[in-house]
Amino acid sequence: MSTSAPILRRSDSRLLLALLSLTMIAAACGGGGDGEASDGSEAQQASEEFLEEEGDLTPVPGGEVVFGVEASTTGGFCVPEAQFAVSGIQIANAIYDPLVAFNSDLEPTPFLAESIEPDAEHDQWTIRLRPGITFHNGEALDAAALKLNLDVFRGEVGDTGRVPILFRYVFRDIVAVEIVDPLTVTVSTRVPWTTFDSYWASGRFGISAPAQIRSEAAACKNTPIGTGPFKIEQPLSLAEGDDVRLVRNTTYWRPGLPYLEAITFRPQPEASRMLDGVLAADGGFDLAHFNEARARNNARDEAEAGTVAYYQEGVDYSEVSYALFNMRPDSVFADKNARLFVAHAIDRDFLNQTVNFGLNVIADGPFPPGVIGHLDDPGVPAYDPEEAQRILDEELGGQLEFTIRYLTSTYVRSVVDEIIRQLSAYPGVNVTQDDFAQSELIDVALGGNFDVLFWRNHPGYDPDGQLVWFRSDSPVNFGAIDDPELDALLDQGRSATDPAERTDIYEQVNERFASEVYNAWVWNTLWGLTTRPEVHGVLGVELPNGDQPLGIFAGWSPVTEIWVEQ
Amino acid sequence: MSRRYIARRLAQLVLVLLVVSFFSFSLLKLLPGDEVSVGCTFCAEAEQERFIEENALDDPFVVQYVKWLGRLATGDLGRYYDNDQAVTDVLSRALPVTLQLMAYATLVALAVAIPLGVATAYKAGSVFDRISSAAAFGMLAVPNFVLAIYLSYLLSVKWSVFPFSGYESFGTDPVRHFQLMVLPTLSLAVGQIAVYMRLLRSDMIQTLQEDYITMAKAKGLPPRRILLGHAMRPSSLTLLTVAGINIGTLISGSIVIEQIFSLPGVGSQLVFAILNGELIAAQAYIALIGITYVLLNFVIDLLYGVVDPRIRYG
Repeated sequence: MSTSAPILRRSDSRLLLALLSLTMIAAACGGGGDGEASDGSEAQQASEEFLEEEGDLTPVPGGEVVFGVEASTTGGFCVPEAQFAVSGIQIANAIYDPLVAFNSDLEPTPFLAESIEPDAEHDQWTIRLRPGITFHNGEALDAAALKLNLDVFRGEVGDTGRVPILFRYVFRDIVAVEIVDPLTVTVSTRVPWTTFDSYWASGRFGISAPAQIRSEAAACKNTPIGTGPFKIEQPLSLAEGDDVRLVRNTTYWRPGLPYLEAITFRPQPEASRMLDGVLAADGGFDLAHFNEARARNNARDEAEAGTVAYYQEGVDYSEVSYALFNMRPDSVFADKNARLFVAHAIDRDFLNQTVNFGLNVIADGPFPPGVIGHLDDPGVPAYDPEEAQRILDEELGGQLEFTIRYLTSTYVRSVVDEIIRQLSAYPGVNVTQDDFAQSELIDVALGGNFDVLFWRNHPGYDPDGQLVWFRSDSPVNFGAIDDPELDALLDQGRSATDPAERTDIYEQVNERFASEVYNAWVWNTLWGLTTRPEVHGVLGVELPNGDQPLGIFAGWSPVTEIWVEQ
Repeated sequence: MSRRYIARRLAQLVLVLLVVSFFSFSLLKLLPGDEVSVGCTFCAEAEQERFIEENALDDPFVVQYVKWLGRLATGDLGRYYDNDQAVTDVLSRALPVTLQLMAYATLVALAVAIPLGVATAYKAGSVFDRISSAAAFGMLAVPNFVLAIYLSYLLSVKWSVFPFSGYESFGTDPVRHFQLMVLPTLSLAVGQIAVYMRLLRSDMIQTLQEDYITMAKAKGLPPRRILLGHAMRPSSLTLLTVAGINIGTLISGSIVIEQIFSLPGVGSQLVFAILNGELIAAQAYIALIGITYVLLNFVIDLLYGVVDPRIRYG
């Protein structure tokens, strides 16, 4: 099931959408405006009507757009070191090209790479680059540049001065990168790595120019140099609230693209202001992405009225929001009964209706629909107030006290408020909340200074991509899961080559999470993209191999094929 | 106003500035947490040592302050931890935006409040006065961010009178600059209008009861000349004082307004620096805001003698 979006086949002038879960609501369609969760069927019909109209349009080169994003990327764009949020990934995807790109079936397909192939054992991958591609500064994209990027990612930084804190763990299974010919490298891994190629399907792991990688710390952050459709005109200001303006890469390797002359990313933390900005005739946004439910609801209403176009990410491959338990020995949630109580005590459906107008989809595990390992019912403890009360009385001595912590956010506060309200209905349960700034995240999360951390993560591609969050020896295993059985499954999943075997392994991972209640899953968080009606091509066109692109994925969307009616 | 007075005030000013800077520096030093772990979280040992040396973290507290003050005086405000950007670079772009917003809001507020204050004082007790007073209370009751969103929705989204958000410098495009600054200015100014109008009205009513005003009326001077020529200046002292104090209100108001209208000003930078543990930047912004506040009020002190020549300083 695809999350995405229109494919514009130039040969037949019709936009075709595989739309079962992605809705494009144009004028005079129905559904969803009153907050009722839609099953997608009405939107599917409306989308097809819209697509018939969209398919008759011919992209027009030129123009500029302002793209609203939810936050500034003050940490800069030194890709191997950067801690990108969704906004940063959105911008990175405009500057950098990835080696591969996901198609609408979430299969990694060659993008910058002409091919990326494993050997029979999947412990050596051969990456061949497309010839004739240059970075924005004129440097050639060749095997040497690629090797430099891969080595830095895995921690072999040499004299570059780069400090890839997280990625040296993520790519620790890479043992060597060798140049074979001017356009080809081989990557050898410590263990068979079945889905190694899927890691490279985002500007998050975009390929940077050697000049950027070797530059001083400040320059690496404020002077991004990629091969992407847009480039900077001058070093970026990374101050909070500043726009990031990118101009067309006139030597872009995909003929005729991009259509736009420039794109400006403007941060606006309030989703409602983003929507107002799209509605405003002047000085606002041409398109904006957000996941706050009320704003998405309003955007759908506006789309029904024909004032905007609205695209919503489908549940497939989406991020999951959840309560992360701290299971360190001195934590209250080291006791599985405490975790069981919380899982049984929260009415997620009511929570979703109250806070999200029912617009998000209840999640039961780390792997969303569309990703292997997903199960409709992995055995997550269901809402059961009587069982919750029994556990509280018989297993927890009638007392439970803890604090829910979260990154400062008006929306998340409303979620946590409702959770606390539900839990506080049980006598003897005392739950408080504490929000914290981004600057404290490392201390809170890495330091284990929390009882429960409410956050969202794990956008779905291959579940092997989640190993870094769950394995017991990972520095970002924030909940301190220490489960040899889970570790073994994750390691097996990385190296298994048989699809059926991998599916079985990750289903076991999913069931393990459910049976041990390591997290209290809440819902899949869906992103929406709102645009002015005259903005088109926002979900991508056609990948180099002819496949349909994925469209919106975990909050970011492609910008290469965006065009504006002049 | 004598030169001796000005010299004495300057000396006091320097002392106040030192106190303000000391408190700004100390405030963030008192926060829990270790500067090295916040500012150099993933640094190698050599980098940490360089960080400690650059910020004089091994020195005694007073020595740290003196060194920091020296750097502040020479324009070296330090660098952001996260992206190594010089605070000075950010400030040089952000400060004009905030100063413009504050200046425009003050000018608009005074331009509206002074005539209104004079008129309502002159017509005290009339229907006009009562309506104006009610409107002033209404304006005072509405928070500036609520007004900002309301104005933005009506005048940008619904009626497309003004642009929605963003900033253009005056030098690049003056027309666009002012178009973009109208709504933020109004959002900040409206509350100030109410305050200034009420203050001026109150002082003016008192002044109009003075003997010399009665004398002026008896001489047959026109009301306009009496109001503007004789009553206005002595009634302005409170207004001047409050305008100085209100700088703090404008600074805090600008923080929210900048966020709403996507203005890249100092307010946004300060909030970001505090919330994200950018201690060096936060220190610099807090110190500069304090210094600016003190300097502006110093200027206002000097203006007293200009506004009311009866005020003499020995």
